[in-house]
Amino acid sequence: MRYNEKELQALSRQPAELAAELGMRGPKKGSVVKRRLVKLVVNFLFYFRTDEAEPVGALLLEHCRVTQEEPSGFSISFIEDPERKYHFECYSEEQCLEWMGALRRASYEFMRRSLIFYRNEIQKMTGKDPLEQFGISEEARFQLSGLKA
Amino acid sequence: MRYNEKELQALSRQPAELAAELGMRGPKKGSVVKRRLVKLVVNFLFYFRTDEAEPVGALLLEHCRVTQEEPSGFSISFIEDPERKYHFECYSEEQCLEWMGALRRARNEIQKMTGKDPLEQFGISEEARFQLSGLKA
Repeated sequence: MRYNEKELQALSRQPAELAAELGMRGPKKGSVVKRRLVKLVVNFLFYFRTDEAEPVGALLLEHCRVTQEEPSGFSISFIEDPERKYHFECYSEEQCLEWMGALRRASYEFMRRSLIFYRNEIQKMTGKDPLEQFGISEEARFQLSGLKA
Repeated sequence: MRYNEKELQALSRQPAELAAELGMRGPKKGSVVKRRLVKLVVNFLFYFRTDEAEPVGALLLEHCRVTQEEPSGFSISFIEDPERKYHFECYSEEQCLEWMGALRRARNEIQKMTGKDPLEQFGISEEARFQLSGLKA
């Protein structure tokens, strides 16, 4: 599939939600841990060699599963291939939990569901629809029915 | 740059914000208009040959510019290369405006889009339970 790689590279230079140097191990059998600068920008996780400006790779985080593997380590896998895991080593459990939380929230799907949830809470509480002022109340993606299990 | 292509392909099969068959012309000089099934999913625009299940390509929409080119046509370009335009032909101005609006909204969540806090008018902006840090998976 073609895609606009320049735009993805540009995205990797945008301000990050979270960035840190972590140990990273790819999903292939026998892969070794490497130090990588890991950077979370919107729904992408970029990883760089520590002395390079262009990322080695990018992981699109929609429908990813984030799992704690050890006290200070987590993995990311994807619905399409749950056994292929990208492993990350943090310096502490605190850092590990911080990353896991941020990665789970990064998915637009998560944002959408949260928006719907809070919109509903606000409507119940105040009788008003907080999305009305933006003229987007009727959009399919913001409807309560869009919250699937 | 490597990326998890399978995941991007899986995303192309997710429910779309908007999907339609449009005329599409690539950015290269001399490219011709082709019929494509165009599908907007989160911050990606996928385009398919009308009889194929896998997309021909995907456009990441962060920092894109959407411009009306004719009454029923618009273009998408990117900050990195504003002269490279992907052109789309709709069947009406109404459809054109609908797509332009949807593409612009695809980029960000509410806060970034409007610069406004939708909770402000209710005086509940500061409540702990509505803070972004409170969002657990």
